[in-house]
Amino acid sequence: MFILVENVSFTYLPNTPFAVQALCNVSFAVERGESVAILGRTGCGKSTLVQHLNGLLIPQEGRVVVDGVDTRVRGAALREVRRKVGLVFQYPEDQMFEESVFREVAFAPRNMGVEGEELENRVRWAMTVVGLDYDALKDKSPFELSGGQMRRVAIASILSMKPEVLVLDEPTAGLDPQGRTMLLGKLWELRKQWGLTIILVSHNVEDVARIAERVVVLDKGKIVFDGSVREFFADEERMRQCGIIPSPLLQAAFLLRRKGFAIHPPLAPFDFYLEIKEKVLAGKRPCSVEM
Amino acid sequence: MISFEDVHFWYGERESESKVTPVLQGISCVLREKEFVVLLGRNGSGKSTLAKHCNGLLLPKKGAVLVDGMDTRDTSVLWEIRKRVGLVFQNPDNQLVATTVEEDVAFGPENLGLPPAEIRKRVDEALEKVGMIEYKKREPHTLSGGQKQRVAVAGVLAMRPKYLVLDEATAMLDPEGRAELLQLLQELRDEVGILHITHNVEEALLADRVLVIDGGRIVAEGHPREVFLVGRAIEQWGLELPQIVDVALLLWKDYPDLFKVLPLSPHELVDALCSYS
Repeated sequence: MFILVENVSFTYLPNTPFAVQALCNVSFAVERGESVAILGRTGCGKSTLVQHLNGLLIPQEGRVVVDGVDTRVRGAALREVRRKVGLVFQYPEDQMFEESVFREVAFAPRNMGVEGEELENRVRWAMTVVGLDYDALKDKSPFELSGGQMRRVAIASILSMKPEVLVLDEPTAGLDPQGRTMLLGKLWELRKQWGLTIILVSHNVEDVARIAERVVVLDKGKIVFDGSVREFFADEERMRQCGIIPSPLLQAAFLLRRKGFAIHPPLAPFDFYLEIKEKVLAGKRPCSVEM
Repeated sequence: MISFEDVHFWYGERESESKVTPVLQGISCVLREKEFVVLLGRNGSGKSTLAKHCNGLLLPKKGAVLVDGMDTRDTSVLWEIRKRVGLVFQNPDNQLVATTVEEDVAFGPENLGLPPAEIRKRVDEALEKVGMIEYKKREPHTLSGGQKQRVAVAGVLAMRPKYLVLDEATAMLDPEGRAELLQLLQELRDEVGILHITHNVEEALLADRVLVIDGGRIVAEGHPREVFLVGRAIEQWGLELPQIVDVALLLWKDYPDLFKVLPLSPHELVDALCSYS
């Protein structure tokens, strides 16, 4: 078991009139190389949960174990957990501060004592894998870049620590369609080529369909679903109960199912097109009218 | 009517000095009264710069922007223009200034110098319209993103504008907040002219008319049923097809008589599929 979350509960401002329970007896496990989406409406506890995965928050009850290390330890072992589990916050570019892209991406490994050629190699690698041209961009100010490029610099500055898990909170928020497709494609490659474990926090069904294989759904601090993406997408009522708005594609699939067609929940438009041809239009011949 | 007449804009003094390419390169377009227009464009296409021209926050370097015939460069009518054209911006946390919701909405009408009774009436009406009246004593920071944007819209509505310009107002909202705001725009579309600026192609399906901007130029214009007929070529402008349109265009190639018009919503697609024989 690579990451184990066991019976974790967490309350903000405990023992005060303002106490809010954010997590309630949460348990799940992630295997190395998995791609998991954590879904749920705003305020369901998603962000609290992911901050537990690298020891930014320590469970008040229960435990989190990363690659054999309980995050309740302190010192060097906890630092190692934080290196292994890279956390990319929402709108990460808001937290950038260095004067050049190189210094931004080099910041974390430099703090870990990496220097010289090794440092340069790391920065080059991290920028390249997110699709940034090292030579063209390394000396630029991060603030001269487009929104999509800034987002990728922020992700590169985590990758330069050589994490084994990348946890991303709403990584595509605010990106335009091209920036979003590019970023999701790069995350997919990171997983396939470099074996990274990806944990994606989102309320966007389309992002989840594009890169996750498994979905963990939180509602009011509790896990209400843990299973495959297709299984989650197959049940409209459960989705809505969890506060997840189905994509237009899924809405159309649900309508067809209600009309009696055995349509599988589609992950992409092309999937759906093939399903419709096979299950709805089968046997109906296109007439020979030319368009 | 807000009318753009061959508008050019660049940041900096002279065109030759400008480090970047001009941001607007000859924009001509209109927003009519009570019309719902969605302006689509990728990051950096010039769409926010265009938004800021609608009420004179930015002034054209060449060409003109006219609001009901008034030129935005004419400082004597700028006040009147700003009353008629309300802007709502992207970040819900940057737009609310007062300590309670109702005070925030009252900010604009107070600055118009209206009598207190009239301000009271306008604030209540505006909050009623956006469905936030029961939150009027709340502190803005306790609201969700969608609620904050609705309050921002109320602040603009209290000015009784003829036109509402939303500059990526849905971009930072979660899906529920986005749905709330879009629902509100649907309710307002018969009362004010709306220019909704976004890169979310699904939101364009609601429009009477879609404008696509790229490289500072309007590159496509029409009803969503027409504009999205370009198919995958839409990627040249950094956009994608709405999901339902993508599926429909694939099917339409194989079954040329499947649709009479391009379906836009899940219901339209499914109705066409089920009535096909």
